[in-house]
Amino acid sequence: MQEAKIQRNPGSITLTLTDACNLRCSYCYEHHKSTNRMSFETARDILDRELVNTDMESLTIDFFGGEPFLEFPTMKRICEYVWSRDWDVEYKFFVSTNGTLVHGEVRDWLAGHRESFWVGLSYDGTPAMNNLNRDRSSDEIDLPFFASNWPTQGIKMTVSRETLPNLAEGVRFLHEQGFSVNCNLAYGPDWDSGHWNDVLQSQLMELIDFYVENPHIKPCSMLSMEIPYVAVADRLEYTKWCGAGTNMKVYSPDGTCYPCHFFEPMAVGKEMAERSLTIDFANAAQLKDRDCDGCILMPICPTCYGSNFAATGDITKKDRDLCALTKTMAMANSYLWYRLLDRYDDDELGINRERRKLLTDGIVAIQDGFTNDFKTLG
Amino acid sequence: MPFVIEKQQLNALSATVSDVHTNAVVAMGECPGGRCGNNCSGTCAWSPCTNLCAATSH
Repeated sequence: MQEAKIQRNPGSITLTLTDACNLRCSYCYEHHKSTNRMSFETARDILDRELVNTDMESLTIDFFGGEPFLEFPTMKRICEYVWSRDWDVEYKFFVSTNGTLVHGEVRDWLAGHRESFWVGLSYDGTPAMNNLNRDRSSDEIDLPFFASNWPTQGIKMTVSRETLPNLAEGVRFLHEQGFSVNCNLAYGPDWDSGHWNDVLQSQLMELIDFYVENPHIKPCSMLSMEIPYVAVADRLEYTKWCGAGTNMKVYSPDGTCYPCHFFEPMAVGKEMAERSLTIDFANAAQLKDRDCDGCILMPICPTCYGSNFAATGDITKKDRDLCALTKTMAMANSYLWYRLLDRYDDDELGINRERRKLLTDGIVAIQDGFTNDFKTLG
Repeated sequence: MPFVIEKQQLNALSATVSDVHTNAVVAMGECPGGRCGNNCSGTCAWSPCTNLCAATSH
């Protein structure tokens, strides 16, 4: 008799240590910042619950803000508390930071714990681009420190309308510093203009030329769409896009649990945050944007339930302004892989024949779909 | 659109893998839709999702 296979997934527990930040980034979605701080006792009580009897395979304990290093003494105390005890589940610590407070004692402490404490840095391209988006903070951030201590951790690069014209330069710069690059267009700005699509096309073409000449570099996330899915879009069930409300639990400073950080009072205000507590995230089928029915790009088209909720009050409704830009990205991904497969053999690309076949099918599906505006199902 | 590939070139590319057979749905076990059950694939707009994705080595 076969045993039932139980799938246990990694999960995350985010502790928002503070609603305050020392920067004023141009695209920040946290519109209700305050001086609220999480106490050590609140954090301890949360972790005492979450690290016992969890149904997750492993947990990441994520420190978030605002800027979490504003509360470094609390962060350190929480870590020392957790490290001093045995727990039922494997865990690691993680912090999302703007990097400006990582100096002196903080820097020494992080370097000493780099195996068990991961750091994710937000930095938006070249120093000039980062200054433009992120409150002139570039001079305060030691990029080599982050690249050398967490070399496999991608850097978080948000692209604003002001920095999109230099997207390619910014991505190349961060690769030169040793980072892989997770880049995305900022949610919130009005992208509804053919102008932005023209700029994006030009920048992605520059990046494609770069990656074709440097096939050993992992393309930035805009050019890492999983295009084989498009070829089998008619056979795929809709799956939830992220862990919001299921694998993710986010605790605000007062200890209330939200589906993700975007639903916290700091981001959407108290009233909407309370409303988010009634949303059922467990039924993936109900999270699908019905306006996208029939679009073959559905399996690779990003959505953000929190951003949708903040903009429309409905977690399923995607920002239509981004639709044309996503189609451009899909075409760019197919074009990049066409050029890579045409120029290099499997060993040079680190793929096998099956993967080549899947990628080829994805390329063909996207290119065919383009002539039908990608509405080719049903 | 600058990324359009001529039909003739697409056919030539497809011909190079015409002998390969895969069960595409089964073969795509990696992220997205992989180990963590999510499929954000590093395209999530915000930390910590994106960062967690990298940190859990997807």
